[in-house]
Amino acid sequence: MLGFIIQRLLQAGLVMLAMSALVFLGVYAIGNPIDVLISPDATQDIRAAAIRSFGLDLPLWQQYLAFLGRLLSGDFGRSFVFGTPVIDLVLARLPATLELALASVLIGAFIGIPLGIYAGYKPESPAARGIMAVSVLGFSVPTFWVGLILILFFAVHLDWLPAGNRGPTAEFLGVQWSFLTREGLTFLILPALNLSLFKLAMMIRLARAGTREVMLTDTVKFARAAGLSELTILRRHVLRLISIPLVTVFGLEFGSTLAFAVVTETIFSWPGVGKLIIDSITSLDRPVMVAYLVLVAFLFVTINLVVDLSYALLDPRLRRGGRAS
Amino acid sequence: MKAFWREYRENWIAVIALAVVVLVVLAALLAPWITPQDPYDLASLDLMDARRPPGFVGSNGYVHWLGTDAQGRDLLSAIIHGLRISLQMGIAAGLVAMTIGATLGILSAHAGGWVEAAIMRVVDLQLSFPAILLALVLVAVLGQGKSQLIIALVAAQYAYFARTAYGAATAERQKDYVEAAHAPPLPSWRVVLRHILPNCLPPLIVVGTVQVANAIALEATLSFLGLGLPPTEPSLGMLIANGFQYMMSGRTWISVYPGIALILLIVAINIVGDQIRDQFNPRLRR
Amino acid sequence: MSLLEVRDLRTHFFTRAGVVKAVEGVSFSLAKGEILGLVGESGSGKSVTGFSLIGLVDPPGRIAGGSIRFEGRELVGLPAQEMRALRGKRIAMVFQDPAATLNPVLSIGQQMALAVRAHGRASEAAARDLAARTLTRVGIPDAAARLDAYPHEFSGGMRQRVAIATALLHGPDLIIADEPTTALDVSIQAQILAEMKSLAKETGTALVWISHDLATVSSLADRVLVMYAGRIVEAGAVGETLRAPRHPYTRGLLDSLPAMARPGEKLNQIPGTTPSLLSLPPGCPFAPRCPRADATCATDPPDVVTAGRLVRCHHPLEAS
Repeated sequence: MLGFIIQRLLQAGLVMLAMSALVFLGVYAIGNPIDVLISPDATQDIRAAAIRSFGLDLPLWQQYLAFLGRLLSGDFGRSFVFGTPVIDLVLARLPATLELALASVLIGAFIGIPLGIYAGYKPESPAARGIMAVSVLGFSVPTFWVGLILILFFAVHLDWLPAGNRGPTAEFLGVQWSFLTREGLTFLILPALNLSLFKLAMMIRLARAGTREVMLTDTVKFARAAGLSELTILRRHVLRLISIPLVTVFGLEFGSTLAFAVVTETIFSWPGVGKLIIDSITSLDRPVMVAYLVLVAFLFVTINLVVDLSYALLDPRLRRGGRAS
Repeated sequence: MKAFWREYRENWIAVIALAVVVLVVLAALLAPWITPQDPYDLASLDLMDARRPPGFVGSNGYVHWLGTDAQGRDLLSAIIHGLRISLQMGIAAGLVAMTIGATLGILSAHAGGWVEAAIMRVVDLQLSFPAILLALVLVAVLGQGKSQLIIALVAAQYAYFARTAYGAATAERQKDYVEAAHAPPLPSWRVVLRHILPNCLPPLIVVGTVQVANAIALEATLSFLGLGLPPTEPSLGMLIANGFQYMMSGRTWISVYPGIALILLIVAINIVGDQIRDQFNPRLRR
Repeated sequence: MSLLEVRDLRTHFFTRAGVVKAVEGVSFSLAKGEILGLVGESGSGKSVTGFSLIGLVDPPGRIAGGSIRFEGRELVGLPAQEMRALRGKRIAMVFQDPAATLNPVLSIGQQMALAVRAHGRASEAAARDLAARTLTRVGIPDAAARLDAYPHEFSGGMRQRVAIATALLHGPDLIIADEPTTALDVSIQAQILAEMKSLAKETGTALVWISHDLATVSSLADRVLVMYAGRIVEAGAVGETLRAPRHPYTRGLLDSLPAMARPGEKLNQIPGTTPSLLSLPPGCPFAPRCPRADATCATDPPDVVTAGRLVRCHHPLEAS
């Protein structure tokens, strides 16, 4: 078990290293690094001084090491647009994105898994076909379009929910959260729903495939032969058996949800990091871009790690080092 | 082939989807001849006609069946031209990604050893990383334009093809007849060409169809975010983005009609792809 | 009154390719505490017969006709809820492969507790206590401590004991055992057979033992049914029937057994394979493989009943 953890930690470290190299090459080496570090309005003298002080006259690998060193100390430079340290800027916006992503992943799981299990339990029923149609739509229809339709219907047409922005928040653990206030919650619903659609589709598909497979096994037949009710079989046997792939995807999807939040945040003017990155791309605020990418990569790797470790909790065969046959 | 079509015909939804795809492709091919107006010819636009609802008769006598956008463009013409651009991007990106991905996948399955390990490691890493983020970064770094966008789309998608081709090729590799073909001194590339490639094609075609739809969706998303094509070549995503600001004031058609066209195309391609996949997959047959 | 009365049972699978008549006109009865061996090759319909008895035929299969009376109560067409109340409580089942039947991600205790609670409320402690006591009965040492173990921590034979214990939890009147020793080592097989026999005699539980292995059945069962292509071809007390079979198929099965052959003699396999149940020609289904077949075998064979034995054949072998 300990070896497993160490191995995964090493892997995570390697991935982070690879990602930082990619980001470095992408933004620093392909683009003009001066643009990343100095505002374009600076004078020639300041530019020359900056090139020296940032070591841009050094060989590429030395520059990369310096870049890594700055990353490790949390120094991402200053935003051209806001003039504040990038790390503060990103961290201030992170809770909004995390809240949105978490809400949407939860919606996806709590609605998607039961629907998927049902669709896998009765694959030929009209309801199951309807569920699958929703899942096909959720997979193929672009997020931004669904967001638009949600706004059009719930905000413009019915006028039930706000069309954008975050609304009031309340403080908890030193961070501002929307879901703690009633009104804030109404602001959260549409964006979270929008962002959850893809996850919902995926959960439905996975839960359905898993359930279909498990329903044919002798485990289910044996449980039936013991007189267990269908609901108990689904809740206690099937759910546990399909949970391992679900948790994997659940975790991995949380990472990609952070990425897809870019789209949803833009549509709903949700003040998170996704909106920040789009703004920074259009205004060429490169320090912010770098910080965002490194941050997402970091979150991604961390989530992968957590998912791997939670396998062990779900599968007893892994937990005890396994004599699995 | 005939039997394939007979089985395909059994699913009428898939037949309709196929008809939609064919129709859209035809419309896109013939766009310059069938649209009532050239949406890029600024001289033919009149701001007096801007943001008019569907059915409005414009100053130059056109009936704007789907209304006009903020520049006074006939929306129907803009949509058909938009579909043309979206399809172009989707198919171009899909084909390039398929070629690169399939080559990498088959190569690593065939070569084995450290080549296999290295290529598939990168591919798996990329598969776990959200495609949209990669595309965003590339567009941000490379700038805007058709070829830049295609590069971004390809980079975001080739890994799917590589995985698919790799899976199919390793499965083939383990079968006896490839070994049998190896026995006489046939050049290695001929084994790949004759035996491995043909067996990788069905899964690649399935993934290819779906990935074309995904490329179109991704391109639309990037364009919607203002990071796709330049405004001189408005794809569907940009048309939708342009209309977004007018939606709150009730002029919903500017966004909604291009959106419907986009969804119709994407969903239709997906349904066709799903049907082909089901027909290729013997496990689902009863 | 007999415990179980099966009359003209027909279980069919309605597939796209056509109707597969997996069980076609099976009748038998079973007394309390009796052990019945159900024998046939794979595809003979013996397992489907077992699943029909407990009401667990998977779609597209269903019981197309006939009657199953359990203590006088008709099970065919019984509402799902009432059938479920019987399953596990009065009629239990044990499957072939214990590695596949037990849920790998639940502990033994959790799984058995679910089975206990399927028939009435029980506290956590009471459920565990019943589970532990039943495990001890089937010969699992230190049962209370092993409740928290997972299936992969048990050997194959121990797993099957857990499955048998699960079937025994509510003291059923009938246990259907579908080849429960086939997946086990030979030495374990003998142990489990002996234990099952003594458990059944001790508790008065009737047993339907489904097997392709005549040797197993001969040492265990009181009576034997031989099935071929969904029908019973021969039935009778186990000793007589296996000593002097009257149906050519039973004879063929016995001749292909290594244990029954004399040393140095060649084993006699039955020529040909089991027929497809999709397109069964009229008449005796065994005729194409039968050494005694002639033109009359193209018509349905009669049931010949003599002295408590049944054989369905135009040309039965002489009782010796």
